[in-house]
Amino acid sequence: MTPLLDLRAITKRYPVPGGNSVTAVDAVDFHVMPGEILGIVGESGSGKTTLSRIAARLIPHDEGRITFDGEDITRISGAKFARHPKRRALQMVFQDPLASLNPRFRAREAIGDPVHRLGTAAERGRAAELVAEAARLAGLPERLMSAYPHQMSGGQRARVDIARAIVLRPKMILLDEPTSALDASLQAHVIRTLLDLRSELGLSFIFVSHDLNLVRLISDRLLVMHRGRVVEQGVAQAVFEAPQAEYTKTLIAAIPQVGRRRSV
Amino acid sequence: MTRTHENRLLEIEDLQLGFDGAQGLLPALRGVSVHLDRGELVALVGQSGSGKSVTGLTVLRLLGANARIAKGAIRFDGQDLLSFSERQMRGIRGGRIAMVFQNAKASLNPIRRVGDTLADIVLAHDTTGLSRKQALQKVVGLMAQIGIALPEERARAYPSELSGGMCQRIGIAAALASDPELIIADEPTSALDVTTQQLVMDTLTEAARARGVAVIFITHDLALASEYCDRAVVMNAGRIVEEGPADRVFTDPQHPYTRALLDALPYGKTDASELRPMTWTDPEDSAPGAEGPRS
Repeated sequence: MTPLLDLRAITKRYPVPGGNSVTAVDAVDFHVMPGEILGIVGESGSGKTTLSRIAARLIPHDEGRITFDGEDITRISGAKFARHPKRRALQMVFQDPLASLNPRFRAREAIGDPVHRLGTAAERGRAAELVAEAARLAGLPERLMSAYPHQMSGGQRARVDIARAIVLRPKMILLDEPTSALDASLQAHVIRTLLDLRSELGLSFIFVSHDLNLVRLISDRLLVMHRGRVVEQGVAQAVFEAPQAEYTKTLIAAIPQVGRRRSV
Repeated sequence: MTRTHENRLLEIEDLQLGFDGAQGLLPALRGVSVHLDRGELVALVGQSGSGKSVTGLTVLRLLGANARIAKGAIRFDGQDLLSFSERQMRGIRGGRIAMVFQNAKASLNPIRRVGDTLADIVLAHDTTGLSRKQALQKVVGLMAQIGIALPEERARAYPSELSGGMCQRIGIAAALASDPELIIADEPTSALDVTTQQLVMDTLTEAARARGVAVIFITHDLALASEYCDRAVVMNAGRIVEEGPADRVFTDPQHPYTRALLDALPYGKTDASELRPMTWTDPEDSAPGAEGPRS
């Protein structure tokens, strides 16, 4: 089976005052198979968000090749990719739906927006039907379809974001801290919804999070980043049970556990 | 009835409090009773809106003008804080009771060196006539005691020059600078990575243990509460639903709310399908929260 998304030797540098640069992502290789959930973990500044944005072609990178769904998308500029046919197959859900949803769009319009921008003529013709189906899959009640983002709770906004991401039936969704603003119950709802979507639609996910307890549960494979490099990758359960890299060991030992006492 | 036993430091009794709003009084605390002994580390845990932060802020009387205390008492070292004048409260706040906030970077003065900010605190509560230079020396000593490397250098830094984790440890030094008897720490590590979180929690709890300072640790993180505290108090919708030894409450929960909360969280589970959204609602609650899908 060929990977759905394949990144090779990706490097990204940011210029800093004085003519130097910092290497945010340093020669990183990874891939995601169809239907797979890849978790990316690491501390602030490790490059995990930069890497996921490069994978989605939201920001340009300096070196390396990106292949998505059988096509080399490296040469397509970020601006062009926004209108590219492959964009519909690669969608995103962000941490703060209040910031990522257009405040002037009702839920119905927010969910339907990708259909009008990227859909075929036939899809645009039945946009209302596609929107209703996406809302149903994301667990968004019909009565909220006319609500604006500020009229919804955090969990409801997260559902609009998810419905918007799945409306064109993508092959992959990239989620950057999708539940960190939600309380325990809503987080459980959203995670269950995402897993249902994977089984119903065969989606792949990249799940970027600093919540290692959660990543452990939902990822098939795991990528551990530290200072721009991948220090470890492997089957999620194996990495958690027997971490190889020193940094991964430190990270896992620091995860708070219910019922354990720190000796202080 | 003032002090029930001689080690008792804080006693919150049947606190009922609401906020005036456009739709009338919005209840926030519906009869909260919490007690704390000297040197004890107690976690207040609960979801957003459970009343845990309001409880902490009420002890320091830091609530807005629209807060209405309907009933209850807060006794600190035997004295009723609710009867104190604003002037008397200023002697308590940042003095005998100190606070550590979630975002230390925002709570430190951005245009002063952190050592100067901490020296201000030392001088504000000093009764021995320290000079500013002596106060600064005390601050540097304090920073060294809680394990901050290169304390002189750090004391000369501005908050913007320090990492989030370092600022949070400076915030802990600031709380210790007045030699308090109680520290209220409201989500002190929620903005930090797990490794930094561990360092900050170690710093806070080791310093408190070494000095016999009691801590109210306000958090939504049940695991952190169970790892670092003696006792945990679980709050929901302005009420205490359960309390007990911190390592026991979350491994052997007695109340259905605590059980439901644990079922929704990843702790101890092996598969995401085991995560269960909460369906439990307080039977006493006649008006359940309108927010949030319950589908």
